Amino acid sequence: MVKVVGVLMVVLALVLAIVPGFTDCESQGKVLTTAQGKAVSMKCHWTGRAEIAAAIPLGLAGVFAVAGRRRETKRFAAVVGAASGILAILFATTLIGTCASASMYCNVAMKPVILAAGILAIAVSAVLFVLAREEPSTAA
Amino acid sequence: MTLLQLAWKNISGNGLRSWVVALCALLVAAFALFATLLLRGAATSLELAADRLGADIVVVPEGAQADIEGALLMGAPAHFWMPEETVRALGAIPGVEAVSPQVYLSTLLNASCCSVSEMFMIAYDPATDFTVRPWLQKRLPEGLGLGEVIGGDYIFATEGEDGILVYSALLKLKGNLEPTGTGLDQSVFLTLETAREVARISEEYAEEPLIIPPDQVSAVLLRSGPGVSTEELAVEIYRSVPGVYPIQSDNLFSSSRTQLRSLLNTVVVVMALIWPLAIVLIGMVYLMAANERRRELGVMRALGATRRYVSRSLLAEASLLAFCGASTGVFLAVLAIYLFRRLIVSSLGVPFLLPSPGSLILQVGIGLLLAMGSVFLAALLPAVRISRQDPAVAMRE
Repeated sequence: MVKVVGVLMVVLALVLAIVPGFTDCESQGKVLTTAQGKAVSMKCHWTGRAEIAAAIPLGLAGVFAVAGRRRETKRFAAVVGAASGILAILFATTLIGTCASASMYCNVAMKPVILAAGILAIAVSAVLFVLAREEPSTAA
Repeated sequence: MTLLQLAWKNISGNGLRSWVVALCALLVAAFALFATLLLRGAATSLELAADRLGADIVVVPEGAQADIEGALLMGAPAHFWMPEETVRALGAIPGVEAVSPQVYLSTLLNASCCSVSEMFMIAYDPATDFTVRPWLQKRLPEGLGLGEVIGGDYIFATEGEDGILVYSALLKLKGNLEPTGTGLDQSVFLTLETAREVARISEEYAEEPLIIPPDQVSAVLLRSGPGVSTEELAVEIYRSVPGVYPIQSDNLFSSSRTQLRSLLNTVVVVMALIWPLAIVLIGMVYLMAANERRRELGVMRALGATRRYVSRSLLAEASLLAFCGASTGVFLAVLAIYLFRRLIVSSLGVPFLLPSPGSLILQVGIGLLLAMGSVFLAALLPAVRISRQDPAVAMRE
């Protein structure tokens, strides 16, 4: 069961790292054009990039959940996983955000994927934390 | 050890069996709830859009039936015109109580003179209007003035606190309407006077001018008199006014209603396949489990457990697994419909409105009960069968 949870965390990390790159507005050919005619990436693009920073610790937490043997290791992995999930959600909502119009592609596809992956990462990490109590402790 | 603790021990003792049962419950609950929420959300949205339109009949130029549905449902910009004389001709037909013209416009695509690309704009005549005014009255009793607009739920100010740029004209966003889940949420409403003013400004400042052909309107909204059959009135309009097509409000969005009906049929067929299959699969899993555990259950009986206790322990195990699986399924279905509703709307081409909290709780409850009931039903026969076996025979095997 713990191994399944670990694999799920790795899958969610891959989703967070890869999907935003293909679902931001820039991937659909939409960029901001300044008065000087220069094309500038919109903020959803930078949110997509920042999600990689949340995906790396989440993926590592998943690996530790699968390979770790001690209760403390798994509990630490669970805490890191939950923190990464929260960070992923914050990047897309508060810290950077997405484009203002609700009908833009980043709001239709990218943001929901990030929020779903973030919420699931938190839920899966909570399950890992609970399941870790059955693992042997370092002190044992 | 309580019954639930015993059930939990048995669940943790056989991972694969537990996963299969929980997964079946998850699938049944998730699919049933997702489909119900989607279909009910689409149906509510269609009703609300037709209600907001507030007319008995919408008259459009012949051939523009699909365009008006696309515009009102999905916010797809539509441009069609008919002579303004049509309004007078329609008003003269016996049985017609009120007529009001509307002009459908849209902003430019990716142009710096427009804050929002390809935004659908509905210009109405305040002097004759009977459709927009009733729901404007709640928020703006004084109505819309020159240079003022009211937006759907998705429309927001882009210039300052309440400004929105349309063809280089800075319009004042006076507020937003309640969501309908349709294209009306991405549209703005303005008076014909404001539309003409925008057209005048656009000629000089916009990347492309806004063209409103003189003496032309896009659609005429019509209210029938009391006791007048809208069907007969529509036939009369079609017969007496050439070049127009009257759409009764009941028939409006007919293509979406047809699409919804076919979606419902698909869901019923899929559910009719999934549900019995899940029950049979869970039943087989429990039958195998009961056979595997004959000796263990025989020992329980020999130690003094009653038949009722044995069957109850198996049913408690099934119920616990069903609850865990169904809760996860319900959570995933609600999460998916809440987060991905806009993607679903654009992929399926049907409008969608989230249900009210009360309705959501009711549907979640039904989904949970359905999944738990299925698992209980499937586990009932094996549980009764195993509880009836002779303990001595079971232990020898």
